[in-house]
Amino acid sequence: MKQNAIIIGKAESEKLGNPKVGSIFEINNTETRVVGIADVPRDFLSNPFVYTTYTRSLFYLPPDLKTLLYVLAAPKKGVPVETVIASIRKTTGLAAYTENQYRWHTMTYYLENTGIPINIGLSLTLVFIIGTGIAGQTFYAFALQNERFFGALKAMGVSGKTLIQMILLQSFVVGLIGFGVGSGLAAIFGLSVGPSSKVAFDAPWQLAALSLIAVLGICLASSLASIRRVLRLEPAVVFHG
Amino acid sequence: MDEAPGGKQPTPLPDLAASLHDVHKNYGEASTLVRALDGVDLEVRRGELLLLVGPSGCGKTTLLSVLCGILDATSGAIEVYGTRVDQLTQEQKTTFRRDTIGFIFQQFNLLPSLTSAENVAVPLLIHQVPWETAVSQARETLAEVGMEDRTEFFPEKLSGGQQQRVAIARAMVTRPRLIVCDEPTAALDGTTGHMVLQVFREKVLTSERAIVIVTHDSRIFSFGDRIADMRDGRILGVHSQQEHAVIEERALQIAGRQKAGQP
Repeated sequence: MKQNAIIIGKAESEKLGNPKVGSIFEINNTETRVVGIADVPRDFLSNPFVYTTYTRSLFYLPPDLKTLLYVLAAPKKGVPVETVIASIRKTTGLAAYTENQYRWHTMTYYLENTGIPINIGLSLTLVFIIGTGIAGQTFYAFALQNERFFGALKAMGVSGKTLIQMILLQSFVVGLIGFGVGSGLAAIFGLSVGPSSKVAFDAPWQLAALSLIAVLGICLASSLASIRRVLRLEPAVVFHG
Repeated sequence: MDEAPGGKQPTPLPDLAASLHDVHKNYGEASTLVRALDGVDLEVRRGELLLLVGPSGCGKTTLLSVLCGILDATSGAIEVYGTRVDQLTQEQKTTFRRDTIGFIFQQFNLLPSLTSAENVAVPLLIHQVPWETAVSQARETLAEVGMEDRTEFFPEKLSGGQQQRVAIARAMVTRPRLIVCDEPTAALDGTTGHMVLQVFREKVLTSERAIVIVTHDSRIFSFGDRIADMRDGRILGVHSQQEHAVIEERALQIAGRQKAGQP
Protein backbone atom coordinates (compact mmCIF):
# COMPACT_ATOMS: atom_id res chain seq x y z
CA MET A 1 0.00 0.00 0.00
CA LYS A 2 1.31 3.40 -0.96
CA GLN A 3 2.09 5.99 1.68
CA ASN A 4 -0.97 7.87 2.95
CA ALA A 5 -3.16 5.46 1.09
CA ILE A 6 -6.58 4.50 2.36
CA ILE A 7 -9.46 2.34 1.25
CA ILE A 8 -12.99 3.56 1.77
CA GLY A 9 -16.27 1.68 2.10
CA LYS A 10 -18.54 1.93 -0.94
CA ALA A 11 -21.71 2.28 1.12
CA GLU A 12 -20.22 5.18 3.11
CA SER A 13 -18.46 7.05 0.33
CA GLU A 14 -21.21 9.66 0.29
CA LYS A 15 -20.27 10.72 3.83
CA LEU A 16 -16.79 11.53 2.51
CA GLY A 17 -18.04 13.51 -0.50
CA ASN A 18 -18.08 10.60 -2.97
CA PRO A 19 -14.34 10.33 -3.60
CA LYS A 20 -13.13 8.05 -6.37
CA VAL A 21 -9.97 5.99 -6.62
CA GLY A 22 -7.16 8.52 -6.88
CA SER A 23 -9.07 11.27 -5.09
CA ILE A 24 -7.08 13.21 -2.53
CA PHE A 25 -8.44 14.72 0.65
CA GLU A 26 -7.33 15.45 4.16
CA ILE A 27 -7.85 13.58 7.39
CA ASN A 28 -6.85 15.68 10.41
CA ASN A 29 -4.75 18.00 8.19
CA THR A 30 -2.90 15.09 6.66
CA GLU A 31 -3.20 14.49 2.93
CA THR A 32 -4.50 11.13 1.99
CA ARG A 33 -5.28 9.34 -1.27
CA VAL A 34 -8.03 6.87 -2.00
CA VAL A 35 -6.51 3.75 -3.46
CA GLY A 36 -9.50 1.47 -3.33
CA ILE A 37 -13.21 1.20 -2.68
CA ALA A 38 -14.36 -1.82 -0.71
CA ASP A 39 -17.80 -3.35 -0.98
CA VAL A 40 -18.48 -3.70 2.76
CA PRO A 41 -21.82 -3.57 4.59
CA ARG A 42 -22.92 -0.25 5.91
CA ASP A 43 -22.23 0.30 9.61
CA PHE A 44 -24.93 1.07 12.17
CA LEU A 45 -23.06 4.20 13.38
CA SER A 46 -22.97 7.51 11.55
CA ASN A 47 -19.18 7.99 11.34
CA PRO A 48 -17.57 6.80 8.08
CA PHE A 49 -14.89 4.14 8.16
CA VAL A 50 -11.60 4.24 6.25
CA TYR A 51 -9.20 1.34 6.06
CA THR A 52 -5.40 1.46 6.16
CA THR A 53 -2.49 -0.15 7.99
CA TYR A 54 -2.02 0.49 11.67
CA THR A 55 1.31 2.25 11.09
CA ARG A 56 -0.19 4.62 8.53
CA SER A 57 -3.21 5.30 10.66
CA LEU A 58 -0.94 6.84 13.28
CA PHE A 59 -0.09 9.66 10.84
CA TYR A 60 -3.73 10.78 10.78
CA LEU A 61 -4.35 10.78 14.48
CA PRO A 62 -3.34 13.22 17.21
CA PRO A 63 -0.40 11.71 19.14
CA ASP A 64 -2.03 12.18 22.55
CA LEU A 65 -5.18 10.30 21.62
CA LYS A 66 -5.58 6.71 22.66
CA THR A 67 -6.92 5.59 19.38
CA LEU A 68 -6.57 1.88 19.09
CA LEU A 69 -9.94 0.24 19.58
CA TYR A 70 -9.21 -3.24 18.48
CA VAL A 71 -6.93 -5.30 16.31
CA LEU A 72 -8.60 -7.74 13.97
CA ALA A 73 -6.53 -10.86 13.67
CA ALA A 74 -6.96 -14.27 12.13
CA PRO A 75 -5.14 -17.37 13.37
CA LYS A 76 -2.76 -19.13 11.03
CA LYS A 77 -4.11 -22.19 9.36
CA GLY A 78 -4.21 -25.11 11.76
CA VAL A 79 -3.87 -23.02 14.92
CA PRO A 80 -6.97 -23.17 17.16
CA VAL A 81 -8.53 -19.79 17.83
CA GLU A 82 -8.63 -20.52 21.59
CA THR A 83 -4.84 -20.96 21.58
CA VAL A 84 -4.37 -17.61 19.82
CA ILE A 85 -6.69 -15.88 22.30
CA ALA A 86 -4.85 -17.36 25.27
CA SER A 87 -1.54 -16.35 23.76
CA ILE A 88 -2.61 -12.74 23.11
CA ARG A 89 -3.93 -12.42 26.64
CA LYS A 90 -0.74 -13.84 28.11
CA THR A 91 1.65 -11.83 25.95
CA THR A 92 -0.04 -8.42 25.92
CA GLY A 93 -2.23 -8.46 29.00
CA LEU A 94 -5.07 -7.22 26.79
CA ALA A 95 -8.46 -8.72 26.24
CA ALA A 96 -8.94 -11.04 23.30
CA TYR A 97 -12.19 -12.44 21.99
CA THR A 98 -13.51 -14.68 19.29
CA GLU A 99 -15.73 -13.06 16.67
CA ASN A 100 -18.87 -14.20 18.42
CA GLN A 101 -17.66 -13.12 21.87
CA TYR A 102 -16.75 -9.71 20.51
CA ARG A 103 -20.15 -9.34 18.84
CA TRP A 104 -21.91 -9.98 22.16
CA HIS A 105 -19.42 -7.80 24.00
CA THR A 106 -20.25 -4.90 21.65
CA MET A 107 -23.99 -5.48 21.85
CA THR A 108 -23.87 -5.65 25.63
CA TYR A 109 -21.95 -2.38 25.67
CA TYR A 110 -24.61 -0.63 23.61
CA LEU A 111 -27.41 -2.15 25.63
CA GLU A 112 -25.86 -1.13 28.95
CA ASN A 113 -24.30 2.21 28.11
CA THR A 114 -26.46 3.89 25.50
CA GLY A 115 -30.11 4.97 25.17
CA ILE A 116 -30.62 2.77 22.13
CA PRO A 117 -32.41 -0.10 23.91
CA ILE A 118 -34.69 2.33 25.74
CA ASN A 119 -35.55 4.23 22.56
CA ILE A 120 -36.11 1.11 20.50
CA GLY A 121 -37.84 -0.65 23.42
CA LEU A 122 -40.21 2.28 23.88
CA SER A 123 -40.97 2.34 20.17
CA LEU A 124 -41.63 -1.39 20.14
CA THR A 125 -43.82 -1.17 23.26
CA LEU A 126 -45.83 1.65 21.70
CA VAL A 127 -46.18 -0.30 18.47
CA PHE A 128 -47.34 -3.35 20.42
CA ILE A 129 -49.88 -1.36 22.45
CA ILE A 130 -51.19 0.59 19.47
CA GLY A 131 -51.28 -2.55 17.31
CA THR A 132 -53.19 -4.46 19.98
CA GLY A 133 -55.55 -1.52 20.49
CA ILE A 134 -56.34 -1.09 16.80
CA ALA A 135 -56.66 -4.81 16.14
CA GLY A 136 -58.76 -5.28 19.30
CA GLN A 137 -61.07 -2.44 18.38
CA THR A 138 -61.47 -3.84 14.87
CA PHE A 139 -62.31 -7.32 16.10
CA TYR A 140 -64.63 -5.95 18.77
CA ALA A 141 -66.42 -3.84 16.17
CA PHE A 142 -66.73 -6.95 14.04
CA ALA A 143 -68.23 -8.87 16.97
CA LEU A 144 -70.71 -6.04 17.62
CA GLN A 145 -71.61 -5.74 13.97
CA ASN A 146 -72.22 -9.47 13.70
CA GLU A 147 -73.87 -9.93 17.06
CA ARG A 148 -77.13 -11.18 15.57
CA PHE A 149 -75.27 -13.80 13.55
CA PHE A 150 -73.36 -14.98 16.60
CA GLY A 151 -76.67 -14.98 18.48
CA ALA A 152 -78.30 -17.02 15.72
CA LEU A 153 -75.46 -19.54 15.79
CA LYS A 154 -75.72 -19.80 19.58
CA ALA A 155 -79.47 -20.29 19.35
CA MET A 156 -78.97 -23.02 16.75
CA GLY A 157 -76.72 -24.90 19.15
CA VAL A 158 -73.17 -23.79 18.38
CA SER A 159 -71.10 -24.26 21.53
CA GLY A 160 -69.02 -21.53 23.16
CA LYS A 161 -65.86 -23.49 22.33
CA THR A 162 -66.68 -23.45 18.62
CA LEU A 163 -67.40 -19.71 18.73
CA ILE A 164 -64.01 -19.10 20.40
CA GLN A 165 -62.33 -21.19 17.71
CA MET A 166 -64.12 -19.17 15.02
CA ILE A 167 -62.99 -15.84 16.47
CA LEU A 168 -59.40 -17.00 17.01
CA LEU A 169 -59.20 -18.50 13.53
CA GLN A 170 -60.41 -15.27 12.03
CA SER A 171 -58.00 -13.25 14.13
CA PHE A 172 -55.00 -15.44 13.30
CA VAL A 173 -55.82 -15.54 9.60
CA VAL A 174 -56.00 -11.75 9.51
CA GLY A 175 -52.79 -11.52 11.58
CA LEU A 176 -50.91 -13.96 9.37
CA ILE A 177 -52.02 -12.16 6.22
CA GLY A 178 -50.82 -8.91 7.78
CA PHE A 179 -47.55 -10.53 8.82
CA GLY A 180 -47.05 -11.92 5.31
CA VAL A 181 -47.75 -8.58 3.67
CA GLY A 182 -45.51 -6.74 6.18
CA SER A 183 -42.64 -9.22 5.87
CA GLY A 184 -42.94 -9.20 2.10
CA LEU A 185 -42.84 -5.41 1.92
CA ALA A 186 -39.86 -5.34 4.30
CA ALA A 187 -38.06 -7.92 2.17
CA ILE A 188 -38.75 -5.95 -1.00
CA PHE A 189 -37.47 -2.83 0.72
CA GLY A 190 -34.34 -4.65 1.89
CA LEU A 191 -33.66 -6.02 -1.56
CA SER A 192 -34.29 -2.68 -3.24
CA VAL A 193 -31.96 -0.65 -0.99
CA GLY A 194 -29.11 -3.14 -1.45
CA PRO A 195 -25.93 -3.42 0.59
CA SER A 196 -24.36 -0.18 -0.64
CA SER A 197 -27.25 2.16 0.12
CA LYS A 198 -27.45 4.86 2.77
CA VAL A 199 -29.70 2.64 4.88
CA ALA A 200 -28.27 -0.10 7.07
CA PHE A 201 -30.73 -2.98 6.58
CA ASP A 202 -30.41 -6.35 8.23
CA ALA A 203 -33.28 -8.78 8.69
CA PRO A 204 -32.18 -12.11 10.14
CA TRP A 205 -34.70 -14.95 10.44
CA GLN A 206 -34.77 -14.49 14.22
CA LEU A 207 -36.33 -11.05 13.67
CA ALA A 208 -39.04 -12.55 11.47
CA ALA A 209 -39.69 -15.27 14.07
CA LEU A 210 -39.95 -12.71 16.88
CA SER A 211 -42.26 -10.56 14.76
CA LEU A 212 -44.48 -13.58 14.08
CA ILE A 213 -44.70 -14.35 17.80
CA ALA A 214 -45.52 -10.68 18.48
CA VAL A 215 -48.23 -10.67 15.78
CA LEU A 216 -49.80 -13.85 17.15
CA GLY A 217 -49.64 -12.34 20.64
CA ILE A 218 -51.41 -9.21 19.40
CA CYS A 219 -54.05 -11.38 17.66
CA LEU A 220 -54.67 -13.35 20.84
CA ALA A 221 -54.81 -10.27 23.07
CA SER A 222 -57.05 -8.36 20.68
CA SER A 223 -59.47 -11.29 20.35
CA LEU A 224 -60.13 -11.54 24.08
CA ALA A 225 -62.61 -8.66 24.18
CA SER A 226 -64.61 -10.08 21.28
CA ILE A 227 -64.54 -13.57 22.77
CA ARG A 228 -65.83 -12.21 26.07
CA ARG A 229 -68.56 -10.26 24.27
CA VAL A 230 -69.70 -13.24 22.22
CA LEU A 231 -69.62 -15.67 25.14
CA ARG A 232 -71.73 -13.31 27.26
CA LEU A 233 -74.13 -12.70 24.41
CA GLU A 234 -77.65 -13.91 25.17
CA PRO A 235 -78.84 -15.88 22.15
CA ALA A 236 -82.25 -14.29 22.76
CA VAL A 237 -80.79 -11.16 21.14
CA VAL A 238 -81.70 -12.73 17.78
CA PHE A 239 -85.38 -12.38 18.61
CA HIS A 240 -85.15 -8.61 18.96
CA GLY A 241 -85.97 -7.71 15.38
CA MET B 1 -85.17 -37.68 21.93
CA ASP B 2 -84.89 -41.04 23.61
CA GLU B 3 -83.84 -39.79 26.97
CA ALA B 4 -84.09 -36.37 28.47
CA PRO B 5 -80.64 -35.22 29.67
CA GLY B 6 -82.16 -33.19 32.47
CA GLY B 7 -84.83 -35.59 33.60
CA LYS B 8 -88.31 -36.47 32.35
CA GLN B 9 -91.88 -35.62 33.15
CA PRO B 10 -93.61 -38.79 34.32
CA THR B 11 -95.54 -39.54 31.12
CA PRO B 12 -95.95 -36.83 28.50
CA LEU B 13 -99.20 -36.90 26.54
CA PRO B 14 -98.53 -38.63 23.23
CA ASP B 15 -99.90 -35.79 21.11
CA LEU B 16 -98.15 -33.04 23.03
CA ALA B 17 -95.11 -31.36 21.48
CA ALA B 18 -94.47 -28.84 24.24
CA SER B 19 -96.04 -27.59 27.42
CA LEU B 20 -95.43 -24.75 29.82
CA HIS B 21 -96.87 -24.85 33.29
CA ASP B 22 -96.98 -21.82 35.59
CA VAL B 23 -93.92 -20.31 33.97
CA HIS B 24 -92.61 -17.02 35.36
CA LYS B 25 -89.82 -14.87 34.03
CA ASN B 26 -88.80 -11.78 35.96
CA TYR B 27 -86.31 -9.08 35.09
CA GLY B 28 -84.78 -6.76 37.69
CA GLU B 29 -85.56 -6.71 41.40
CA ALA B 30 -87.81 -4.92 43.91
CA SER B 31 -88.85 -1.54 42.48
CA THR B 32 -87.43 -2.35 39.04
CA LEU B 33 -89.06 -5.79 38.86
CA VAL B 34 -90.67 -6.58 35.53
CA ARG B 35 -92.79 -9.70 35.19
CA ALA B 36 -92.26 -10.59 31.55
CA LEU B 37 -94.03 -13.91 32.05
CA ASP B 38 -96.53 -14.12 34.85
CA GLY B 39 -97.71 -17.69 35.27
CA VAL B 40 -97.95 -18.91 31.70
CA ASP B 41 -99.74 -22.17 30.96
CA LEU B 42 -99.64 -23.34 27.37
CA GLU B 43 -99.70 -26.56 25.41
CA VAL B 44 -98.46 -27.07 21.87
CA ARG B 45 -99.71 -30.15 20.05
CA ARG B 46 -97.83 -32.26 17.58
CA GLY B 47 -98.71 -31.45 13.99
CA GLU B 48 -100.15 -28.05 14.76
CA LEU B 49 -99.20 -24.54 13.77
CA LEU B 50 -99.72 -22.36 16.82
CA LEU B 51 -99.73 -18.60 16.53
CA LEU B 52 -98.73 -16.59 19.57
CA VAL B 53 -100.24 -13.12 19.26
CA GLY B 54 -100.48 -10.03 21.39
CA PRO B 55 -99.35 -6.41 21.63
CA SER B 56 -95.70 -5.37 21.77
CA GLY B 57 -94.11 -6.00 25.15
CA CYS B 58 -96.67 -8.59 26.25
CA GLY B 59 -93.99 -11.29 26.57
CA LYS B 60 -94.36 -13.28 23.33
CA THR B 61 -90.67 -13.24 22.48
CA THR B 62 -89.72 -14.01 26.06
CA LEU B 63 -92.09 -16.96 26.02
CA LEU B 64 -90.55 -18.23 22.79
CA SER B 65 -87.03 -17.82 24.20
CA VAL B 66 -87.92 -19.68 27.40
CA LEU B 67 -89.67 -22.44 25.45
CA CYS B 68 -86.58 -23.26 23.44
CA GLY B 69 -84.11 -22.82 26.28
CA ILE B 70 -82.27 -19.73 25.23
CA LEU B 71 -83.58 -17.85 28.25
CA ASP B 72 -83.90 -19.33 31.72
CA ALA B 73 -87.32 -19.11 33.33
CA THR B 74 -87.48 -17.77 36.87
CA SER B 75 -89.82 -20.64 37.78
CA GLY B 76 -92.21 -23.12 36.25
CA ALA B 77 -92.03 -26.30 34.20
CA ILE B 78 -91.19 -26.36 30.49
CA GLU B 79 -91.33 -29.59 28.58
CA VAL B 80 -90.55 -30.13 24.92
CA TYR B 81 -91.07 -33.62 23.46
CA GLY B 82 -90.63 -35.17 26.88
CA THR B 83 -87.56 -33.19 27.91
CA ARG B 84 -87.74 -30.88 30.91
CA VAL B 85 -85.97 -27.90 29.37
CA ASP B 86 -85.98 -25.98 32.65
CA GLN B 87 -83.92 -28.72 34.29
CA LEU B 88 -81.15 -28.83 31.70
CA THR B 89 -77.71 -27.31 32.18
CA GLN B 90 -76.61 -24.61 29.73
CA GLU B 91 -74.51 -27.15 27.86
CA GLN B 92 -77.42 -29.58 27.65
CA LYS B 93 -79.67 -26.78 26.45
CA THR B 94 -77.23 -26.01 23.65
CA THR B 95 -77.28 -29.66 22.56
CA PHE B 96 -81.04 -29.82 23.01
CA ARG B 97 -81.60 -26.79 20.75
CA ARG B 98 -79.21 -28.19 18.17
CA ASP B 99 -81.04 -31.54 18.07
CA THR B 100 -84.66 -30.60 18.59
CA ILE B 101 -85.44 -27.05 17.47
CA GLY B 102 -85.33 -25.16 14.21
CA PHE B 103 -85.24 -21.37 14.32
CA ILE B 104 -86.64 -18.80 11.94
CA PHE B 105 -85.95 -15.15 12.67
CA GLN B 106 -87.57 -11.88 11.66
CA GLN B 107 -84.38 -10.61 10.04
CA PHE B 108 -83.56 -14.03 8.51
CA ASN B 109 -79.98 -13.89 9.93
CA LEU B 110 -78.47 -15.60 6.91
CA LEU B 111 -74.68 -15.32 6.93
CA PRO B 112 -73.93 -12.80 4.18
CA SER B 113 -70.68 -14.41 3.04
CA LEU B 114 -72.28 -17.81 2.43
CA THR B 115 -74.48 -18.94 -0.46
CA SER B 116 -78.03 -20.15 0.13
CA ALA B 117 -76.89 -23.78 0.11
CA GLU B 118 -74.02 -23.07 2.50
CA ASN B 119 -76.33 -21.16 4.85
CA VAL B 120 -78.75 -24.08 4.91
CA ALA B 121 -75.83 -26.44 5.51
CA VAL B 122 -74.78 -24.59 8.70
CA PRO B 123 -76.98 -26.61 11.12
CA LEU B 124 -75.69 -29.84 9.53
CA LEU B 125 -72.11 -28.64 9.95
CA ILE B 126 -72.91 -27.96 13.61
CA HIS B 127 -73.94 -31.64 13.72
CA GLN B 128 -70.46 -32.53 12.36
CA VAL B 129 -71.86 -33.66 8.99
CA PRO B 130 -69.06 -33.51 6.38
CA TRP B 131 -69.10 -30.40 4.15
CA GLU B 132 -69.97 -32.12 0.85
CA THR B 133 -72.81 -34.15 2.36
CA ALA B 134 -74.11 -31.10 4.24
CA VAL B 135 -74.22 -28.91 1.14
CA SER B 136 -75.81 -31.70 -0.89
CA GLN B 137 -78.56 -32.18 1.74
CA ALA B 138 -78.96 -28.41 1.91
CA ARG B 139 -79.62 -28.27 -1.85
CA GLU B 140 -82.29 -30.98 -1.50
CA THR B 141 -83.98 -29.05 1.31
CA LEU B 142 -83.86 -25.83 -0.70
CA ALA B 143 -85.61 -27.70 -3.50
CA GLU B 144 -88.36 -28.67 -1.04
CA VAL B 145 -89.15 -24.99 -0.49
CA GLY B 146 -88.94 -24.13 -4.17
CA MET B 147 -85.49 -22.57 -4.12
CA GLU B 148 -83.61 -25.12 -6.22
CA ASP B 149 -82.65 -22.42 -8.73
CA ARG B 150 -81.15 -20.13 -6.07
CA THR B 151 -78.81 -22.50 -4.24
CA GLU B 152 -75.64 -20.65 -5.22
CA PHE B 153 -77.01 -17.14 -4.65
CA PHE B 154 -75.73 -14.97 -1.82
CA PRO B 155 -78.42 -13.55 0.51
CA GLU B 156 -78.01 -10.01 -0.82
CA LYS B 157 -79.07 -11.24 -4.26
CA LEU B 158 -82.34 -12.68 -2.91
CA SER B 159 -85.66 -10.96 -2.22
CA GLY B 160 -87.05 -10.89 1.32
CA GLY B 161 -89.41 -13.77 0.58
CA GLN B 162 -86.61 -15.83 -0.95
CA GLN B 163 -84.35 -15.14 2.02
CA GLN B 164 -87.10 -16.26 4.36
CA ARG B 165 -87.54 -19.47 2.37
CA VAL B 166 -83.80 -20.09 2.68
CA ALA B 167 -84.18 -19.50 6.41
CA ILE B 168 -87.06 -22.00 6.48
CA ALA B 169 -84.89 -24.55 4.68
CA ARG B 170 -82.13 -23.91 7.21
CA ALA B 171 -84.58 -24.52 10.06
CA MET B 172 -85.85 -27.74 8.41
CA VAL B 173 -82.61 -29.29 7.22
CA THR B 174 -81.89 -31.24 10.40
CA ARG B 175 -85.53 -32.37 10.59
CA PRO B 176 -86.18 -30.80 14.02
CA ARG B 177 -89.42 -31.69 15.77
CA LEU B 178 -90.22 -28.16 16.90
CA ILE B 179 -89.83 -25.04 14.77
CA VAL B 180 -90.07 -21.63 16.38
CA CYS B 181 -90.45 -18.44 14.37
CA ASP B 182 -90.22 -14.86 15.49
CA GLU B 183 -92.29 -12.52 13.33
CA PRO B 184 -91.45 -14.42 10.14
CA THR B 185 -93.56 -12.13 7.95
CA ALA B 186 -92.76 -8.78 9.58
CA ALA B 187 -90.18 -7.87 6.95
CA LEU B 188 -92.31 -9.13 4.05
CA ASP B 189 -95.20 -7.70 2.04
CA GLY B 190 -98.66 -9.30 2.31
CA THR B 191 -98.41 -11.54 -0.75
CA THR B 192 -94.92 -12.78 0.12
CA GLY B 193 -95.99 -13.32 3.72
CA HIS B 194 -98.86 -15.52 2.52
CA MET B 195 -96.50 -17.50 0.29
CA VAL B 196 -94.11 -18.05 3.19
CA LEU B 197 -96.94 -19.26 5.45
CA GLN B 198 -98.11 -21.57 2.69
CA VAL B 199 -94.64 -23.08 2.64
CA PHE B 200 -94.92 -23.57 6.41
CA ARG B 201 -98.22 -25.39 6.09
CA GLU B 202 -97.41 -27.47 3.04
CA LYS B 203 -93.72 -28.24 3.42
CA VAL B 204 -92.70 -27.75 7.03
CA LEU B 205 -95.63 -28.98 9.08
CA THR B 206 -95.82 -32.74 9.62
CA SER B 207 -97.87 -34.91 11.94
CA GLU B 208 -94.91 -35.18 14.33
CA ARG B 209 -93.63 -31.66 14.06
CA ALA B 210 -95.06 -28.52 15.65
CA ILE B 211 -94.57 -24.92 14.65
CA VAL B 212 -94.88 -21.97 17.02
CA ILE B 213 -95.02 -18.56 15.40
CA VAL B 214 -94.86 -15.27 17.28
CA THR B 215 -96.57 -12.63 15.20
CA HIS B 216 -98.30 -9.28 15.12
CA ASP B 217 -99.39 -9.85 11.57
CA SER B 218 -103.15 -10.36 11.49
CA ARG B 219 -102.91 -11.15 7.75
CA ILE B 220 -101.54 -14.58 8.57
CA PHE B 221 -103.94 -15.52 11.39
CA SER B 222 -105.89 -17.71 8.98
CA PHE B 223 -102.88 -20.06 8.68
CA GLY B 224 -102.82 -21.00 12.36
CA ASP B 225 -104.49 -24.13 13.72
CA ARG B 226 -104.83 -22.34 17.03
CA ILE B 227 -104.12 -18.83 18.20
CA ALA B 228 -102.83 -18.06 21.70
CA ASP B 229 -103.60 -14.54 22.92
CA MET B 230 -101.07 -12.96 25.24
CA ARG B 231 -101.40 -9.87 27.39
CA ASP B 232 -99.10 -8.64 30.14
CA GLY B 233 -97.12 -11.85 30.41
CA ARG B 234 -100.17 -14.14 30.53
CA ILE B 235 -102.01 -16.33 28.09
CA LEU B 236 -105.57 -15.04 27.96
CA GLY B 237 -106.82 -17.93 25.92
CA VAL B 238 -106.05 -20.35 23.13
CA HIS B 239 -108.64 -20.41 20.35
CA SER B 240 -109.26 -21.88 16.98
CA GLN B 241 -108.89 -19.34 14.21
CA GLN B 242 -112.72 -19.11 13.89
CA GLU B 243 -113.11 -18.38 17.60
CA HIS B 244 -110.29 -15.89 17.42
CA ALA B 245 -111.87 -14.10 14.48
CA VAL B 246 -115.11 -13.71 16.45
CA ILE B 247 -113.21 -12.40 19.48
CA GLU B 248 -111.26 -9.93 17.36
CA GLU B 249 -114.43 -8.71 15.72
CA ARG B 250 -116.09 -8.19 19.08
CA ALA B 251 -113.02 -6.35 20.35
CA LEU B 252 -113.09 -4.08 17.30
CA GLN B 253 -116.81 -3.39 17.79
CA ILE B 254 -116.25 -2.47 21.44
CA ALA B 255 -113.32 -0.23 20.53
CA GLY B 256 -115.41 1.43 17.80
CA ARG B 257 -118.31 2.08 20.19
CA GLN B 258 -115.96 3.50 22.80
CA LYS B 259 -114.47 5.82 20.22
CA ALA B 260 -117.94 6.97 19.19
CA GLY B 261 -118.86 7.57 22.82
CA GLN B 262 -121.56 4.89 22.88
CA PRO B 263 -122.01 2.53 25.86
